[in-house]
Amino acid sequence: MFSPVIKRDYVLLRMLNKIKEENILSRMEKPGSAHQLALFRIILGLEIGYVTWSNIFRFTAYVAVPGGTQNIFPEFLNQWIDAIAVPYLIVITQVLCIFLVLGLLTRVILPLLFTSFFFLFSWYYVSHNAPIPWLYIWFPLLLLNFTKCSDVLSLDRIIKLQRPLPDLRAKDYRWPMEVVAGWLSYIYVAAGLSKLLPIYKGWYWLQGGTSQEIMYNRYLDSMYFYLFEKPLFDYTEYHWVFAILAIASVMVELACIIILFTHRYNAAIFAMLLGMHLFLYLAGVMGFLQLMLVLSVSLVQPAFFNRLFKEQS
Amino acid sequence: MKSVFKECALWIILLALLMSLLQTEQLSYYYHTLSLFRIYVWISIAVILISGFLLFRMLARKESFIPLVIQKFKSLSIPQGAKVLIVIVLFGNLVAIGLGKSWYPFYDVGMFRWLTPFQNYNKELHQLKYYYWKDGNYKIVDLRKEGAPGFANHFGWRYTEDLMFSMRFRVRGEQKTFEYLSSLMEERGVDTLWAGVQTVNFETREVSFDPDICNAVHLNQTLTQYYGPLYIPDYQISRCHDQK
Repeated sequence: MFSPVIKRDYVLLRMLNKIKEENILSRMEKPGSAHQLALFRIILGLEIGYVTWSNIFRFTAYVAVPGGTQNIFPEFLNQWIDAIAVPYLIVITQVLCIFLVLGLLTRVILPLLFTSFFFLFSWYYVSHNAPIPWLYIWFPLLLLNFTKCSDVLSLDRIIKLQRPLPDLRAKDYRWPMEVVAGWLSYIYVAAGLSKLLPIYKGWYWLQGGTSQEIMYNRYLDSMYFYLFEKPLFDYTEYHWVFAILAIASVMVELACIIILFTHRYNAAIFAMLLGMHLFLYLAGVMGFLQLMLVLSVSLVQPAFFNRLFKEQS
Repeated sequence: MKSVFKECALWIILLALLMSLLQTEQLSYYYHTLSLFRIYVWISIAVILISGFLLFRMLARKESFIPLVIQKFKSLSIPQGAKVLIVIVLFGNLVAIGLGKSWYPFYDVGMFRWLTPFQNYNKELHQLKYYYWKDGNYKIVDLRKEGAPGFANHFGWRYTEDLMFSMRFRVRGEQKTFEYLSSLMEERGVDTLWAGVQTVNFETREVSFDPDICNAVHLNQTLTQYYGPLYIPDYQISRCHDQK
């Protein structure tokens, strides 16, 4: 009936039209869910509480080994944070994140919490030389400052400091979650790109040597060892297994760019990310699973929360 | 329609080549020493210029989708402050990704970006770990297990994964790390920690632990270890010398 060229053009045109309707910018104008945003606020608050209550700060201050990483702050500010502010920032962040979880005085505490969190973790970051999961929390936290995240599931609502919009499905609740989805996409796509660039290096990376090095050297410190006590196979052999793992990890990471164009594959992307992180967790790279789960709230369709919390227009 | 795909392809080519050049450390050194690399650099520059020109022409002819994206973003009914924030963060992170460097809070997410060739490693992997004696049996302090919620034997949830990673790997050679761990274990009724050697044989898939304090001291000095040597307390080294 139709020539292959016409068929191909038709398919491409349909795809472009779908992207036009479903891209992240268009999605920001669509109905959202007040409960999804509020739930994200609570989960983010719990994550901030978890990382801030950690004894890592006491340990970092005690051992005091410079990490060789940099921040954008002037030196005097870094010195002030290091010499004076850290103990106060820890307490302030701990107290304010409780307020965030409870949704109490949210509009007032959010700028303060962001500031204390931002400076505290800047101090921690410059003491380390490795990517650390909470590095990706600051932006969603800053973003919440511009949102109506305590309209529901909050003490502000109970004591009537905050009144929700008449429509709990308003787009005011949607755009922040889409920006967080974009943030998640940035994290994974950038991670994928960093393995492939410069392009002459990418070819070697995909051969799996780095995956092998991590699995081999971390075996005795991996969850897989703690759970099963024997290696799955001989990590000094089977070149192709590590090559497949390397290629698969880059593919999963780069696939996250799809989030920017459509939400149709969010469930598949979530499943792939979860699979990758569970594997990494077993292999001895444990830190990032938690963060992925926190940010993945943004991948869930608002309609799910509309139904769950019986949100009406 | 075709112009959209053409523009995407041009952007990918331009950015991949540009980022490759920007992220090459010692570019000048390689340029002057490797003739093949010199050819690669000039071809890259030529392709970047051609792609840049074609993209500029698309922009000038109003065939580009970039103005549409900008227009759409501007028209969004979201707070102005949030828009400014998104632009700043996007710009900062694009620079970080482009250069492959990070300045907190902007970050290139360089997870495991280093390059290691596939190797025929030794079939036996030795790792030094701290342990203590209890009721005539040795007990290994598996620090990374202690940082995994639900699996810890000694420490609570405030001893998080990043803390245990630092203690186990990053600053394992520091005396203060050992002192910190010792004080924690003392609080839990363990007065002396020793370093022993855990070994996995990947061929036989067997794991063993050698509590011999002298073997640990010897291997710590001679073995090339992941994240370097472990800190071994003076009392263990003295005891080992006394045994000899």
